[in-house]
Amino acid sequence: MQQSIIKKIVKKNESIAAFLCIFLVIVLTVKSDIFWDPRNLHSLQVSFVPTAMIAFGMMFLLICGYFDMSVGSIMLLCAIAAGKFTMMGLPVPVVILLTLGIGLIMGCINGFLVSILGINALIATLGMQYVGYGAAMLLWNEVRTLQSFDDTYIFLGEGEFGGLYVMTWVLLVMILAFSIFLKYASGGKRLYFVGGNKEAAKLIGFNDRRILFLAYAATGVLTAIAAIFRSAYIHKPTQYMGEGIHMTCFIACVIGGGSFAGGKGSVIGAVLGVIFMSLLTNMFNLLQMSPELQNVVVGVILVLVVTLDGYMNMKKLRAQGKI
Amino acid sequence: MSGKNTEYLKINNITKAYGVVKALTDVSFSIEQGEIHTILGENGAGKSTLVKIIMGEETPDSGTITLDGEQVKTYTPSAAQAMGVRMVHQELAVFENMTVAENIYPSHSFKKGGRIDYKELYRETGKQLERFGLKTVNPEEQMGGVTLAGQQMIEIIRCIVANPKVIILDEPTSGLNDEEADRLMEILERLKAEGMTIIYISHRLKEIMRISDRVTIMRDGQYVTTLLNDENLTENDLINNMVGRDLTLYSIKKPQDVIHNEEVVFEVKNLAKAHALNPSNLQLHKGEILGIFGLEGSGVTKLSRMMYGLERKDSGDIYVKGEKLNKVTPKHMVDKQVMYLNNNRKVAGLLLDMPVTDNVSLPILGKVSNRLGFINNKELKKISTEYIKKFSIALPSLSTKPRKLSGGNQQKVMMSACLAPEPEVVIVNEPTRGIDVGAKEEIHKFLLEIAKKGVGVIVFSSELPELMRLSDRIKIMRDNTIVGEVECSEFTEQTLMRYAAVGVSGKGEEA
Repeated sequence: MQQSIIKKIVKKNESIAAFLCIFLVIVLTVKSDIFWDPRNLHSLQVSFVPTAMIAFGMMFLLICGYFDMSVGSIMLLCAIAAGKFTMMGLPVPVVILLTLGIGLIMGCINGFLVSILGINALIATLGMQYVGYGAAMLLWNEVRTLQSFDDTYIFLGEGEFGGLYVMTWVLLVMILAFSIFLKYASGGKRLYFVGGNKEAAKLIGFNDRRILFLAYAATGVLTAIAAIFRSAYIHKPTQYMGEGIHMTCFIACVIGGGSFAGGKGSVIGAVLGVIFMSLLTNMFNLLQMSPELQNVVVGVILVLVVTLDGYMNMKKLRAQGKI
Repeated sequence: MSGKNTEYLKINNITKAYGVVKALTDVSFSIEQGEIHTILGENGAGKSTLVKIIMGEETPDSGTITLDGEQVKTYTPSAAQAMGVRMVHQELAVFENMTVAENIYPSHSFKKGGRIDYKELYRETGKQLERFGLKTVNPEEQMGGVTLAGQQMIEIIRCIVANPKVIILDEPTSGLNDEEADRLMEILERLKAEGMTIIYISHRLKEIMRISDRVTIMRDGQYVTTLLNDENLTENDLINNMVGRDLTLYSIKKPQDVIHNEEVVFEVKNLAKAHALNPSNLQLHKGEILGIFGLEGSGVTKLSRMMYGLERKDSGDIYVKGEKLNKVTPKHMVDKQVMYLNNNRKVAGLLLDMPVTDNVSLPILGKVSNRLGFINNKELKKISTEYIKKFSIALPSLSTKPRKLSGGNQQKVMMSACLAPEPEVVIVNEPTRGIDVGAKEEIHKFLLEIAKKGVGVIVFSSELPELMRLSDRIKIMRDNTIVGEVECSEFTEQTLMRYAAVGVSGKGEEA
């Protein structure tokens, strides 16, 4: 009986990420004196939360069998646009709404390109990455002089409540809501149907294009939310925000049980994957690893994860005699 | 349900063409409420296109469909479903990443307070599984872990729980063994008793005879006849109607034209792969044309691809001129002068946007290059021109792109590319699918001609007259197995079709 429970846990898609996290915590505890320092934990929290929000969007897409490489520049664009709106003297609620709107528009364009026009997801979202980055840089020249956001806006980033940041509470609500959505709502379940077998989903009458479009739109909005919290925490937009975050989220989601082939993944998996990536970055910093070496490590992890994922998918198909 | 509607599902003058190929020509017949109506025909007879139209997956070019007096207006799967039509596809449309229960109820009909009620979902699924005799399957199990037969049954259950008025089953028993197929027959009989109308597509004549009320036979995209399944109906009636072409229109190979040469140029020994091909053997002699025939799902495509290394095999060997190949890959085959000609010229045969000359010369680039790897363009042009003449390919110029040519000319370009390296063995897969009569004739002539020169040819085709014209022998496949071989002197459509549809020869052993 006991053994079967252990087996069940090991077999869960999310366990790899959980074990990796535990491993990194042990390494960090042993190797670094300041890992458990409250200041370090705080900084972990504020870098982790926005990334996790974006990873939820990425996970929705991966479940459908797609991904979005433009989230980093959407985040940058949203943060800088928020700065621009603030400089225009708009009230904070309007700034927030407009920023969310930009995320939504970017997400919808991605959704339109990939699901309606049928452009390869890698090319379409890479293209949008350039568009987003370019647009952000155009605005940046004006926004760089911004000293600080309004105090109400900054509260979103710095405010605390019961020992946790406001953004952390928002994240917890998201975890709960999205978990329920994916497990208990037919809308959420449809993502798995589309990702598992797109043709079959079409045949039983699901609108696969609309589902994918909505997943891209949701990713855009979630990225805008992340941009708001992150920029509020640092008081003003920076031109480096969101750099490399598409890769961080992608790796996190695949480690957390998502797959290129689609059809699987969970909210908890995304959270664990992002915790792993955050701990990894934290380890790089605390152990003062050179940035060059960091890149090598992240690259190796990405290739390993994708290879393993591809190998598992192929093994499955072979076992069924399909290839 | 008194007074059965004899024209419950009415198909009126349906015509559908894909490009130049007519898939359906003016097909009309009616299906009665509460009957099991089988549609029977060879590959390409138009059955699949017809049910796809009924299911809303294709829109007809002309003609109408009426269900229970109501004419179908839009052809989409969801519209057909709304009218109460469901279909079990030949290719399994299941979700292996989901549980069995979710596969049966994909729209999650069981909800409590807006949330999916898993307890109820699993309980209801359990009930349905038991009803259909799948007691060993757990509703919470992942679909990927269920056997193929189980998956097929689960897909059927998914259609049935939606409580449709009409259910279409396309080759539902292809993945089932006899016992499982038997259970499915019982279920279908029970559903019929409950008043469901069932459209059944199958090649298995025994099953058809057992459960059908009526059988509609189609051939070459046209309606042939509808037969009532009473005591007088025999398997032979079905076979004769399936094939019954006027063979005087076709020339058939004469036994005296058969070439006898003992030299084996190509041999397949125990080629096999799980779920795809049972151990298969064949020998091809020098100058011989060997035909291979099989109905849909019989494994012919797999065999053709596996023997050329286009698909992985589990076991078995290939011998070329007595020499065993260490590795079966297309490259090894080409090196041994074995060429493969694909049926799909658009996807796997031609570079549609490169000049015809480049296409023809592709396989011989190595031959016409010098030691440094530079191409001798003069030589190239000479060889290409030679082949273009040989096949009388109608070309505005040598640099014309195949995309601009007709299907028949495209096929001829492909043929030239395949023959330019002067192979000793040629494997052709559906060499004349979708091309006009004239081009077909030329390709047939050419295959006969190269065989006369000593090239061994294997022809995979779903057209019996074509095979009977070209082949010295025909092997027939059924259920992923080679079930028989017929010599030229015994060629009749009936004999060949009987092997393909029943699995035994017609002589004596009436089951």
